[in-house]
Amino acid sequence: MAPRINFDVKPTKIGPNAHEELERLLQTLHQHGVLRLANDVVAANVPLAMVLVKALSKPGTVDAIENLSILLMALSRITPPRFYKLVFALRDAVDGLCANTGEEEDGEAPGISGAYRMLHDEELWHALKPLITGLKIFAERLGEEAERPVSAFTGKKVAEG
Amino acid sequence: MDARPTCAIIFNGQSLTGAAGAPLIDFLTAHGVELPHVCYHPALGPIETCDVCWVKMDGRLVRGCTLRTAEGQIISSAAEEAVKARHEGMDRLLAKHELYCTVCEHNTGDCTLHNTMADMQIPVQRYAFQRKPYPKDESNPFYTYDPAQCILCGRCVEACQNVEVNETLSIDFTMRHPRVLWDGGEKIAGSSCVSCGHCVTVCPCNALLERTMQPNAGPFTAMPEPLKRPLIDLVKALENTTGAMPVTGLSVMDTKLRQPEIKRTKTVCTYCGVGCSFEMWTRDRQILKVQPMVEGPVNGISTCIKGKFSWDFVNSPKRLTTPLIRRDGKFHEASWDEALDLVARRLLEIRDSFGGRSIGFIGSSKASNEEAYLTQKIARLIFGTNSVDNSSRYCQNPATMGLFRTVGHGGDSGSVEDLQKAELIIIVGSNLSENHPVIASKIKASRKHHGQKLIVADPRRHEMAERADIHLRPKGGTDLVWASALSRYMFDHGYADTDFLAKHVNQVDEYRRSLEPFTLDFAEQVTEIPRQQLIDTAEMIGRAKSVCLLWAMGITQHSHGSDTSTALSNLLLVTGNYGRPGTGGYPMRGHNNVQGASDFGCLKNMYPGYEKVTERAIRTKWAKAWGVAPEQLSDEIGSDNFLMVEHAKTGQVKAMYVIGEETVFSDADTTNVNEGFTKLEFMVVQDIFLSRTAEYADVVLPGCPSVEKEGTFVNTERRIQRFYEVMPPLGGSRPDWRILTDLAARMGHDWGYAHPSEIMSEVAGIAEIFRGVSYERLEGWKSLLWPVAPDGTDTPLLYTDGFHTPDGKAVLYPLAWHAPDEEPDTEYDLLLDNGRMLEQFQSTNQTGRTTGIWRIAPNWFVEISPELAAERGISEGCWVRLASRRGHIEVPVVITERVKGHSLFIPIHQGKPGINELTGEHHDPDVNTPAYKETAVRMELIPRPGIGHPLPRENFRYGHRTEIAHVPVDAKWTQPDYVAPPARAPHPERF
Repeated sequence: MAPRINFDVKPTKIGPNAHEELERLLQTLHQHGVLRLANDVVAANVPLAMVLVKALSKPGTVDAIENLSILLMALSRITPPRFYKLVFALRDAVDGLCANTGEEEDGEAPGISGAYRMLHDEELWHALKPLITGLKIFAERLGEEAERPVSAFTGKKVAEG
Repeated sequence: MDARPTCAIIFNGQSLTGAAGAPLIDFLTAHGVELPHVCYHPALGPIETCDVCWVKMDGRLVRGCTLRTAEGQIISSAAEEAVKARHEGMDRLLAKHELYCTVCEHNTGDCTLHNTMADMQIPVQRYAFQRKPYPKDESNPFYTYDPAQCILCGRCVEACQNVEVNETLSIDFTMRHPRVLWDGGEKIAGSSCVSCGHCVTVCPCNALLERTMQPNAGPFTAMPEPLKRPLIDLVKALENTTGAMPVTGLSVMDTKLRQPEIKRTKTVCTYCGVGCSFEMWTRDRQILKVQPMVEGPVNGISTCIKGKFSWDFVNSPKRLTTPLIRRDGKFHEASWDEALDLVARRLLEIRDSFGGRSIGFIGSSKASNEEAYLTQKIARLIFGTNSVDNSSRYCQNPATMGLFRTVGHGGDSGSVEDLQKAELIIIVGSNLSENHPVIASKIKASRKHHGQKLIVADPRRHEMAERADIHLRPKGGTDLVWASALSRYMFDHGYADTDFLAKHVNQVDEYRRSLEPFTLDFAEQVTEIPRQQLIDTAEMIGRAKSVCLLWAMGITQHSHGSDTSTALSNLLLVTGNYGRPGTGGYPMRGHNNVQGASDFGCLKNMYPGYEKVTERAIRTKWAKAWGVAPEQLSDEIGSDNFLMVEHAKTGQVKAMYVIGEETVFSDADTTNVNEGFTKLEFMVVQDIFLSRTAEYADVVLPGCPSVEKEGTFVNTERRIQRFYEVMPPLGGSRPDWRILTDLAARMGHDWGYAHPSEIMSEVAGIAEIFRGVSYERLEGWKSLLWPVAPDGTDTPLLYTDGFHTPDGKAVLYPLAWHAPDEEPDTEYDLLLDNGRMLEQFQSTNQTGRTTGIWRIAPNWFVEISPELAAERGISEGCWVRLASRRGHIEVPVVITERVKGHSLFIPIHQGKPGINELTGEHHDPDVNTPAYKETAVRMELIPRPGIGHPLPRENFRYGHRTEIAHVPVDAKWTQPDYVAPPARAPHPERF
């Protein structure tokens, strides 16, 4: 009878190691032209930047960027619940506007008696009150002197050059 | 000093001074002012189709491309009406062309349409793109035509009709949907298109595009169509909101992206002696395209099928990249050290045992001047032998001999410009439009637009013969007779230039006496050219104020080619046609550097610059320059190719060193060559492929094609041009000049050249005709035509101050008529002519690696006349056996009127072993050039199924040209729905 011997089984490799994965990634990036593109971008960074800067320097582009920034600034000062209310109120209002084609029944003007009745419509008055308040604040804000948006936003004035 | 007149114009309020009479667009470009334009191209002139270059002058709108500068012009491109008109013109173009530039192969920086559109800052397309109802034409193996992208500018038509003058392309503006037409039809294949690439080169957008650019010229261009199309549609949808500018910004960035990876390198073509130069666009080793430029001194924007499209051999997997050594009946890969050591040791052993004369060197007519110089320097300096030659022995030496005898310089008298200026061109024994296509185009253009007259003497009715005013079809090998008869006619009828002869020519009387036998009757009898045709020819030559005469292997490859070449030069002298613009003799050199290989000393009797090895003073000069005693250089004329092979057979030559020449295939009588090479004790072959010749070698050294090294070539005009390294040597291959330098060092001569410019500098310091040549003077597109004076002044036109003879006078060289050494007889009753095809080059070692070439011309064949076919009952595609006194071959038959009677024609390129199985040892005794064209054969029909059309029906030879003068823009303007900008177009997609 042969003596007992042990055998240390070497674990079979399952799946690639990190180097092999990296190698494969490199190959895939090469085959799909990603490395080529990356090389191109890096090598052409100056002329590319020049094109970008030229495009970004146009007055219209600058205005667009500033305006987008203002929108972002405003968005940063509205709490999400309020913004949620506003956006969905707007959505419902748009729905209402679109539903009212102006061609439905009762398209005639209300007349003096009709207007009088509307002034006594409590429900309508409650609906309009926040809009009128908002309109008042909106008009006040429009009347304020325009300064650098960032100064108005942060309260910090910038020295004139 | 530039004496051209100048003028000052006011453009947009700015005063600009420059050349008067210059095209306005070029003038403005020279001043850094851009006037938008699309259809205008400096090589084509104003076509007036794009409507994008409107300016205001004298209160009215004018197309800027039509203006030439003149003093006092006041022109405005900023006037509101002009701006509106230009934008309307561009909007109309964009109605015919879909902008998807970022995913378009052509957006590599030279897309005229894209760049112009971007420069004009078109905010939005006024007219929606409307696709033309035609599919993309992919029937040509080298380029595609996409009608949907075609803006109908007509550049391609103008280039085809008036630069290439192949007259294939046209546009019919009366069609409901106008497009470019090939032979009046809608398919490229089967038309007369010769795939020269002119149309693709000038196309301002991607309508005509090289296949080599498709699909991955740009980083985003290779995406599959199912992805590309939706992406384009998505961007187009967004463009409705954003306008065109952001999208144009992306495509401009894409253009910039591509620049770092694209390399543009000036190189010189290696397919014939014309010497076309162009930019080669590469991305790593991928050749994206060959782009000829207006600056090319010989060709401008012209190329032929080979120069434009046949470069696949450069990256062929069959390229040799490792030295090979024969051992135990096999080739074994070896290191450079091992191979070069072996070559050096064996050659020196043979020299020491048998003398330097026992070794023969064949330099390459495809390699550079510097490499030719080193080849002969090794032979002469290290081995003390003048046995060095090149393939001009097989083709050009008889022509050179004819010129040596009469006028003195072994090169063309003038430049291509002179050929264009001549009142009359005579082409003898040269199938110019297939063998030197770009020079043929220049002549065709002069003829088409300037009334140049053309006489062709050739047994074969090729394209130039079809275009000729007079086509002489002499019996093969009799050209000396008609040429001499015409010379006699000139004397007899008062057309001889007696003043010129008296002042500039020797031996006039002796020569005139030698013409006694050459009457018109005798000429008619021998040449079979009708007497009246000879008279008409003589009258046309006699009356012409300037004549250029071109000849090639139809003259030289005969048993008396030197004499016939001399007779042609004599005729030019008699009529005073040397030394003036538009005159002279022009042997058309066949290989790209067959002129240079001879110029730089690969000749058995001449040092570089045609300095004789037999003259003591010259030998002393070269010995001094090379740092050896004059006695070390041989004063004995060496062996040429022909004799080397003979002497190999007899054992006098023990070793040979062959560089880039396929001697086994190209020398006459293949069996004889095989026998000679088999008997050599040692043979070295330096080549880019394992050629048939290399199969005999003991050591094979892998050299580089021109695109992998630097150097210079000399073209048929004597023009020296630089070529630059397009890409590094493939694998372990090395530039030939470096191999030769390394080898010389191993044989005790360490010359230490680090760059070919140092070799050229050495030659310029010794050879008189190259005194002023330097790499600096040849930089970029610059070139020099030798002789070049020390101050760099070159000589485009020879003999303006006398001839290159001891007394400065030309020589009329008396000749006698000798019949060809081999003529048809009762046993071998047919005369087999042979020559090149447009599509192939030599043994197909290079062109044969381009698959598209084989699609157009897949088979070897023999051309026979309809009358012979009828006589023998042979139909197209039948197999025949052609047998000569030496051997036989089997080929299918093409029946064509290009050949007549009992003359046959066979291309030289194909087959194993090829045409030289049939040719013989008979040769021109003056220069040892084999008489390839004098091969009598018999033809037997083989009972084997035919192959239909050996030349497929899509081959250009079956096409029918559609000649027009220019792009018919008038027809466009007279269409009812065409209105001139800035008015809105009702159908912008049509015009």
